[in-house]
Amino acid sequence: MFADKITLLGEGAKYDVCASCASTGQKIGKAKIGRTTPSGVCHSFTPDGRCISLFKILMSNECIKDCAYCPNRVQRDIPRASFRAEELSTLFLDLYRRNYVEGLFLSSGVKDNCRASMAEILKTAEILRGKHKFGGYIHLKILPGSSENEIQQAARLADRVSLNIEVPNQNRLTALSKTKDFARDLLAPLTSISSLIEQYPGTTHTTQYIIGATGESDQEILHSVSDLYANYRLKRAYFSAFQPVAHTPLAEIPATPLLRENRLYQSDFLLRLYGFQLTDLIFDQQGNLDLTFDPKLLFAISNPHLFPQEINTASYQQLLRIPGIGPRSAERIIRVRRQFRFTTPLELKNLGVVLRRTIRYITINGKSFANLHWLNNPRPEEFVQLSLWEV
Amino acid sequence: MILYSPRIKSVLAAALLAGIHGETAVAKTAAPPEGLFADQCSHDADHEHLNKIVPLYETTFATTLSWLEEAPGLQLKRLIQLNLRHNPPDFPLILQAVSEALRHGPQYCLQCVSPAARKFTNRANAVQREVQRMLGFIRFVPKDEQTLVAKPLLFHHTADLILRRFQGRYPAHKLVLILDNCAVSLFHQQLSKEPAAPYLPYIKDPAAEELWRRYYQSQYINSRKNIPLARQHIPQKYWDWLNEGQMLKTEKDENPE
Repeated sequence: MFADKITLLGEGAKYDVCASCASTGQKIGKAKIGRTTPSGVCHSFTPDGRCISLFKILMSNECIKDCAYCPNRVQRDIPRASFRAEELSTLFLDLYRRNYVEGLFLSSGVKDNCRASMAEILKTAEILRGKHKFGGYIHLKILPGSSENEIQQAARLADRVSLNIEVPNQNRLTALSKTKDFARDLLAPLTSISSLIEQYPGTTHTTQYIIGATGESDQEILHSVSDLYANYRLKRAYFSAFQPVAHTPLAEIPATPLLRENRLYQSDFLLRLYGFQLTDLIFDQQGNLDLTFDPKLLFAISNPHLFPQEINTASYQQLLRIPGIGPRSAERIIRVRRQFRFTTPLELKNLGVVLRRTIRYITINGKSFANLHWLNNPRPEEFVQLSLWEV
Repeated sequence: MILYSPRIKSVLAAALLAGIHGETAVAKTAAPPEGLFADQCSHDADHEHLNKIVPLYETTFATTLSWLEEAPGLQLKRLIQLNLRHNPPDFPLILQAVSEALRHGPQYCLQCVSPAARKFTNRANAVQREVQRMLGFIRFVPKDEQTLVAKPLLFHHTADLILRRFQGRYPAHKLVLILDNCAVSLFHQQLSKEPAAPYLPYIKDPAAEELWRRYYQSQYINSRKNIPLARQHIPQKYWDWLNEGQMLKTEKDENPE
């Protein structure tokens, strides 16, 4: 009965990025079914390698907006469909009970007006939480231009809410949509979200950027991301490489390389988890990240005076700056060092350090295990990195 | 020679005794030890009390093992338990890793400094990974309003661990996992073994599978196809068992690497 709608409305939501279903909060006291987990669960992976953990679907793909990149824009002649709140909640619960999904990710086109579409989204979540006592994960999209009251309802019902900012500033938004205003439709709701989620512990909010559709630079995007982290309590930013959609104004623009998206994610991780500042990242003259070297490696190559670091004495922050060492390995090194002194590279390898990348930047017990001349003359072929993204 | 059972306390006692007496520890298995050392059993770890041999070990090696009752000790015991659930368990490896922890301190083993500790942790991770995978990949079929049935694909002894993890998700349901020759069920926190036959008709539900197939296909972005990445997350050994494995196979064959 729902198969055709699932195909149509699932496809409409597939470009929305957010596979995370981890949450520490519980939205209702005694759930009849469902609970959130702190680490999340993946229920499948598509042939593109992306995780399916949430039932990601649109309430409706009917939309009055004209976003130039969007497959659901008003001018496109495509089959349209909508779910009613009751049928979508029943369908989702059945999939949840059978363990096909870990939660619901609900978005929608703006069918008649923002208020009506947002009301349908909220009604679905209300049915799940109230009628079915569903205690699992719900992620609700906030439609651009939503009122403060609607945002508050969403924050109360959902574990995560998100509003897609898509571009870093008004100039770029003009190229995408004539009906959206950056300050009114995006920044104002983001301000409301950041203050309202405080009232509902456990609720977080995220956003998403579309990469390469408007000629924006990586620096512009990361500058905007840093601002959102600092001033809007943003939990995470997601990036989606632009893919042209037929019969849209941007159909002729080439697809953005996935490696660019990957570099933005790497930079985002450096900003969030590695203690890097925006000024630590190296951009080219156009303000873009290098596609040959990853941002952390480029940082190391550009700052030879910081290396090599002695693995037995470097601080946690210093360890995090070494290529091949992440927060987990750094933590492990610090723990082991309290009782044991590292003397060989093999000990680090066993610990989980990516030795191939790390060995040039460290000394172990005072001894270097690699030639350090490269620091003055790095050659790209020396640093070729294998990546699952380069297919 | 020291004999021990595949239980956490016994393994710990055997490692301590092996250190104190400098003797080899051997696991009690179905087949008794053969050859020159067949009758050389000096200690049975099952009959030793940890609160007696721990002080003896501390005196012998001038060390302290108070961490055994603290967080690192609990973590080590958890790793031992997971290793014992690995199929097949590697008893000499478990003993070696525990002995290293006793000698060099718990973090030496827990943070995988030596190759043995690395392997010990990897094997525990393999068991944990199976539990985590099954939490996502298992598909339940409702037998009635209250009972959900599934047939998992398990390579280690993890059925009870999986059921316990599902408990919070389905607080009011009876969960049944069909194994090779029996069914394991969990209802109101009670684990039990049952005959599999009554549940066998509920392994498949073609209508639900078709609905899922449609949804799965709708989420695939063809221009981002990346079979190596997909295979890293869903190893090929699961492809025949999973509903969506057929699509992964087709996509792989269309563009072989």
